[in-house]
Amino acid sequence: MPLSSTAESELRDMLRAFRAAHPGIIVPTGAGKALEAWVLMKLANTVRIQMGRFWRVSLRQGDGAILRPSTTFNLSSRPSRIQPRSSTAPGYVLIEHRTDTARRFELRGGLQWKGRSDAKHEIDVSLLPSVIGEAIRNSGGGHPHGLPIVAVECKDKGGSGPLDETRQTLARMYDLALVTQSVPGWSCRIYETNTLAQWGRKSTRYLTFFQKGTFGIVRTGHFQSGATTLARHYSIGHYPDIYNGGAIGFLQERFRETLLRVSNF
Amino acid sequence: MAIIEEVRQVIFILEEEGFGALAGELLTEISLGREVEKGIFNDEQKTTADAGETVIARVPIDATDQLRAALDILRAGLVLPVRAFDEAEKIASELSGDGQFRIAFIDPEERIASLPISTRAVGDTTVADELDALLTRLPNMIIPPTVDGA
Repeated sequence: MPLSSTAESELRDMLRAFRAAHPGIIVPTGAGKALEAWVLMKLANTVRIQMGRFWRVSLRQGDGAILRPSTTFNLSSRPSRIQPRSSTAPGYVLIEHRTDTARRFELRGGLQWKGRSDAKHEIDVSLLPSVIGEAIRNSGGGHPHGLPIVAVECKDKGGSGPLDETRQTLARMYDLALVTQSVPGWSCRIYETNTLAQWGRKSTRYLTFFQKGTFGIVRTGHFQSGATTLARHYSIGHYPDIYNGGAIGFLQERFRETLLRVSNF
Repeated sequence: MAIIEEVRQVIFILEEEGFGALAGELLTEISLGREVEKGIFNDEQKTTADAGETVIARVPIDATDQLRAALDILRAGLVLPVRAFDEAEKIASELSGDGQFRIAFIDPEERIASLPISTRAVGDTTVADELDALLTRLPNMIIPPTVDGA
């Protein structure tokens, strides 16, 4: 039983209107980028709504300046390092404690981190200390090394997320966690190589590292149950059916707890 | 698995109107069938919960469910991302508290902007909403069979 001619013509008209209104969604990576932007902003909004008494949130340009009214907030279209200080470089969300100036963080999209192997790992949404971001930005750009405070993978995919997807996330975390330090005598969680700025403390066990922070995979579909068993053991959150269910609320809650405890990291 | 005529029509229209990637996804997903998670058992492990190990199998989608499954994929690929992105832009504007902010994606090295996710004003999801409404109505817009089944 075919669609009626009315249905066919309405669908064609609607698709043409959609392509004109939302051209960026139609390209293969478009829906995934929309998901990344949404997760990043939902986390930022958690701080504004629930923690605004003690924390401040602002949108920043790539040179660190506050974004001017009615301008565009630029996010990275592909995985990249932190760019040298420039107003045209991708921006970030600055999350800063109102009284404790040591607690300043940058929430970023599509940032590549470097692991102990020197391999680069793209994290869709990650949080790093401003002391690291500023040091890199002010010294020609580069990659942060170590385990992010927040690392969220965004999967714009239906169906069941397989076990291998979680294994890949876990493999990245193992490479990023500085259970061994690159310089004898150091004890940090994150560092950068331009000025050797450091942040946080080393943990001796992987599990201890992974329990300090927000790590997760966000999915528009679901997860294979075996994948969730693996993820739970290593404190990696699984957030299924992200657009329809309450999973985004659980991610926001975990992010809030991370910020509350970040001084102990 | 045979794809029913209405879904073939939708795939054809998508391809012709420049939604080739989505047309390909529809063809693949409906052809492969619906995912079903099955437990792997052995003598000691009597329940799925005990086993922990599963495989994803594909089962055919009933002809009566295929169009709805196809339209759900369209909704997930087009409507939901637009609404989510719009919410992200609204939050960006609320964070600044001073005017509307657009979110754009730029190449980090070349500084060239990607195609905009939305050309409409912040908060305007009219087109996505209308598409959603049409996707809901489409299953009722098929030509009924004639009495002799032709």
